[in-house]
Amino acid sequence: MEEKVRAARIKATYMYPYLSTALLTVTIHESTDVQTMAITQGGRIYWNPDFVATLTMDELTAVIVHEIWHMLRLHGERAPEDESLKGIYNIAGDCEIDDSLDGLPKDAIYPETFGLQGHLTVEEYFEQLVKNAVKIQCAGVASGDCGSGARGGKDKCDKDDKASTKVLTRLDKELIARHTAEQIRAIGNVPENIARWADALLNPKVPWERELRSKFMSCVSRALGKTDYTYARRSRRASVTRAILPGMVSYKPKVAVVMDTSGSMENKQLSRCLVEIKDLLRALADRVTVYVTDAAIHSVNTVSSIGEIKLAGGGGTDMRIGIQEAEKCKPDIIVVLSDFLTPWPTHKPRPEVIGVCISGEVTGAPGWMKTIQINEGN
Amino acid sequence: MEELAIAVQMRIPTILWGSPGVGKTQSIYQLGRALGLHTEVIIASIHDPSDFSGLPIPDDHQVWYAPPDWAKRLAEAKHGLAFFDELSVCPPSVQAALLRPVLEGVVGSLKLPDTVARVAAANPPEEAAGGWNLTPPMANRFCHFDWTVNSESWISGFLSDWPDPAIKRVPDTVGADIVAAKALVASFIRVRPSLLFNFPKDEASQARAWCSPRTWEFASKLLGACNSVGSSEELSVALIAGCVGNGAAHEFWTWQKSLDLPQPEEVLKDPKGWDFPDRDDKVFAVISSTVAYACSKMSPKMWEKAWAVIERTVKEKRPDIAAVCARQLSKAGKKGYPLPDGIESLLPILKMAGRL
Repeated sequence: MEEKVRAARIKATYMYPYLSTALLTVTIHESTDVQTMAITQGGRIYWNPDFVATLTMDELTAVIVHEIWHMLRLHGERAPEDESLKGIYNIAGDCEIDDSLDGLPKDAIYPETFGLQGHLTVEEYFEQLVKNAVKIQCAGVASGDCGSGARGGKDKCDKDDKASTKVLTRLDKELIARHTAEQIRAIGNVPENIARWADALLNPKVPWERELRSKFMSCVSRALGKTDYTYARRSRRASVTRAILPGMVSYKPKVAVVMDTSGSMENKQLSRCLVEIKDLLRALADRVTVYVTDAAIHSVNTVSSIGEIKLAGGGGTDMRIGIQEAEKCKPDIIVVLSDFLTPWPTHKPRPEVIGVCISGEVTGAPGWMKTIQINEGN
Repeated sequence: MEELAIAVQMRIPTILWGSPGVGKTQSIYQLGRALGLHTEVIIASIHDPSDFSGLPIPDDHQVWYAPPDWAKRLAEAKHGLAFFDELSVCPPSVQAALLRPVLEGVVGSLKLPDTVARVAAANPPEEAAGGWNLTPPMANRFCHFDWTVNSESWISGFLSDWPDPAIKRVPDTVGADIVAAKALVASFIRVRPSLLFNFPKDEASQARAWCSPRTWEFASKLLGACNSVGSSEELSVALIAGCVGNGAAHEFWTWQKSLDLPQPEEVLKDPKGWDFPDRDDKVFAVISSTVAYACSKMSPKMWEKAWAVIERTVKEKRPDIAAVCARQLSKAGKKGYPLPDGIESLLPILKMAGRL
């Protein structure tokens, strides 16, 4: 039986050459402590001989590759600490992996098994599964137990991890994952899911919320050259010391938001983005003027909370009109929320302009505008 | 805590990123006690710029900049630890005034002794509405750590009333290790010069660790310290990543690990005698690169030698690795090359895997 597992592992290196290092670094051990196959955090694969006997060579290969992906995606380390949630996390991890893996036994777990949409990350699957209170009642490969390498914590098999000198540390696994990602990038031509994993590992993406805040704050600080300490006005503290202390002058930025309500805009993302901006404005500006625009301006409102605005529109797109109108009131910052399917002004407006691309691609945006892409699926 | 202890002992300015309430200040006091340092906590966000640049006091036709009390206490204590909390909530003008105390230890007209360690803490800007990003020059003068809550260590500290942590002291002989670490970093930069200076494009990453000559110097000092206290690989990489960023740190570490591996020429020269690595990832790296090298310079002699390497791999009880590499090698064979002996043992498993 061990021959069979080892042969399947070799076969896997033919099918997925980029996984060779990972496949050959893990060690394989027979054990009846596991029902099917499991991987520990230390990178040891345990297999049950009865289970292996029921599988074809192709299925066995796919199951081994499945366990390898638990390791490469560091599921064991990312799992919640809470014991009662580990089973669900394991299933979320299974969904993430099986999404792009062929040849698994027929009772394997897929996102569709739970009526979920595919191509999400393990964290997103987990969130949805918890929300739907999924009962873990699956059999076979889908027992929801792929070992501590998939769900964290300690398993029966982990005691062998301690005894062995050949365990992989988190760093080892990270280095192997990096190496694998580099191979994937060199090869290309892999399922989109896997290409995305490699890309995210090698070029970690800053979440758009953080990017939006950073860009916004850097515009604000430029506009706020005016908020600062000044010796032109003495600090009130100075009355109690002999020291000359500066007082403070402050200035609140004027912010204009040009909101694209053309037919091509997606509402869900627009509202998520509004929530972020609302937060920022609450901290910084008392009032903000909102220009609801598609191919014409529908309304101009000066509000203290963005939630007060009525959205209207649905026609074509021309953000130039909104920006032009906004400029007349001399704001410090203009934030444009749009899908970028619009013509742009040919000259840089006086205020700083931040373009938030709600959906689609940031293409054709002029160089003077700071742009942020809000990606689908995150 | 361990990484912070090393950075503090090496007097590398350090910044902790973490949500409010995760026990940063608590840990700083603990660390200060354990290392015997006089600790001062300064909440930066409630201060004026003048508190850090010194209060200007006119005195007979000149102005001197009076340092505040905490700076005086630190200067008197000599071995001290200054902790600047809530850095990201300060307006840029306060941040600018903080540059000198944090980075050079100068407060007003007072220069703190070099033996005073400086640590800062900040909330990630996405958590504090209205928080300011660190300016890139400021960010690049720190070693960055993410501070998170770990339930296990919290429970043990909570139950035992926060005992002083066991801290590994950096020995006085660290100088030699730093020299060695510098040499290592220098040869890495020679191979990857583009990583010497790598200014990130997006503004959020600019506020964190990124590669520059300064941060590589920090990294080499910390690596030297890690080597002299014998800390784990994880810790060394975490400290390097704190200075130059995650990607560069991992690349550096992969590179320095590969230095220990035998080169293909050596292996082919003496297939039976070279030092066989103990770990499977290393074995695979060596054997597969040796086979790739042999395939690129194929000749009857090379063919024979390469098979001897595969045979050795079988003998060292790595039949799977041997089988994977044997397939690669056999594809490069030409007509008339003799079928090597010693691979019969691989045939059954190769057959089972379905390819030969």
